[in-house]
Amino acid sequence: MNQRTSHVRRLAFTLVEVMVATAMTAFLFIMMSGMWHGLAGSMNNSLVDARVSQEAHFVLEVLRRDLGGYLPGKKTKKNDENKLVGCLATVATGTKQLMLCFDDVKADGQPAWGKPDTLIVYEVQDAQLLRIEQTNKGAFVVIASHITDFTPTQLANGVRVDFTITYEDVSKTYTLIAQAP
Amino acid sequence: MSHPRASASRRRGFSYLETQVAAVLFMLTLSGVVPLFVIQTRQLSRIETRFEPAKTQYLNQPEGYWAKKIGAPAILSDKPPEPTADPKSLAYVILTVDDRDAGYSEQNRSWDDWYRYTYSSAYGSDFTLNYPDNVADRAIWEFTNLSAGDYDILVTYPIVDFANKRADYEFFLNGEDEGHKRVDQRKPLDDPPVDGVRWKKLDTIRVTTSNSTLRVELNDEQAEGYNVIDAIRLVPEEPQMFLHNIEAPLDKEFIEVRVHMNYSVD
Repeated sequence: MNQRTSHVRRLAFTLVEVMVATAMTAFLFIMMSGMWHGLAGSMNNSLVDARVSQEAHFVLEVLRRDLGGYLPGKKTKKNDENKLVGCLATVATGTKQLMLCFDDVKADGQPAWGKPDTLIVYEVQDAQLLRIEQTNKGAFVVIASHITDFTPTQLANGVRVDFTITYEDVSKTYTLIAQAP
Repeated sequence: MSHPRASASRRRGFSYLETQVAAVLFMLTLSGVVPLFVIQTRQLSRIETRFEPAKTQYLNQPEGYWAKKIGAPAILSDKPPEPTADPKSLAYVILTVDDRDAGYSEQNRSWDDWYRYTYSSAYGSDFTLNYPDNVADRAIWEFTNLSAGDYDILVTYPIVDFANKRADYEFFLNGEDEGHKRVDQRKPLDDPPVDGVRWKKLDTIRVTTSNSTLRVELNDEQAEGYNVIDAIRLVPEEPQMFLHNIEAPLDKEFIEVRVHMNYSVD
């Protein structure tokens, strides 16, 4: 019997060793896969939640600015110039709108819903919430995306705004109530 | 015959143990991602706590001069704004009743006791004289629908030489006697001019219920001269405010100022 041949056979894996190694490797990969799947799924959910929250905060911050009582960004305010004097939830050609009227320099305290007052309209177009300055040639700014519902409701002493943001399979509805002038 | 280099090459390959150790180290490395994920999740939940879905939140308008000046944004809160006194409800509009207005009337009126004069220095460019015959003549000014609050009562009349030195103004709130004030109508009025005439403060009266009625009456009993009758004015007193403290924490978006305010409301 050749001793070299015998020595080489001893160096190789036995069938049992290979099977055990395969089983352990498979077990390891299954564990890693499960862990990775869980981690990646949670991260994805977290990113979706973050996106929804981000869009909601965009809406919140802009509404905070406009519903604070006075229009910001002007250099001077004589008397009650730029005061929020009108707040109206309405529907125009099937589109729900929130209309805000700010007083002009004469500050008569009455909403003109047009010039010389400043009229701001919020509405949703193509799932985007727009802030339209009607009295400035209709200049608009996109406030947020993925808005699937925007419903302003007139209250006795204020206005209620419900808006829903849907991103991927996550949908969240937010509700704000602001005082009317 | 086997080549020595071929044998050495086989030995350089990874053993099964090495592979397993490498796999465990790889998993440990991956697990290092978990804390980052936890940090992100916690931060996200903090952001969501600030503006939670499915929960009604309120945009309360900030108050104060600077809030108006800079157009400060509304304050996000989970509570509706505290009810504040409506300035109109405190009758911040100054009320004046002249001797020709609807709120003015005369009691025991006779043709020879009451004289009306046009005079450019009087309030409304006219005033009335009442002869002091001590027969219970009364000039009455009535203020209705008053809201709760403190009001200063002021009087104006033109200065004439033969005016009553003991003009007795009586106050009645909702029919109840609230005292009186004697005035020498020959002395000049000392308050600053408003609406072109000077005024004199008679008293301050506290109205505790809404829709109250205040009556000011001037009689001719014990008069020493003609009663000079023109206008009575009610001025709501400004609420007294005291600064309590100011907080400007770095972790908040606003400065918190606490004040004490003495304010009479219903």
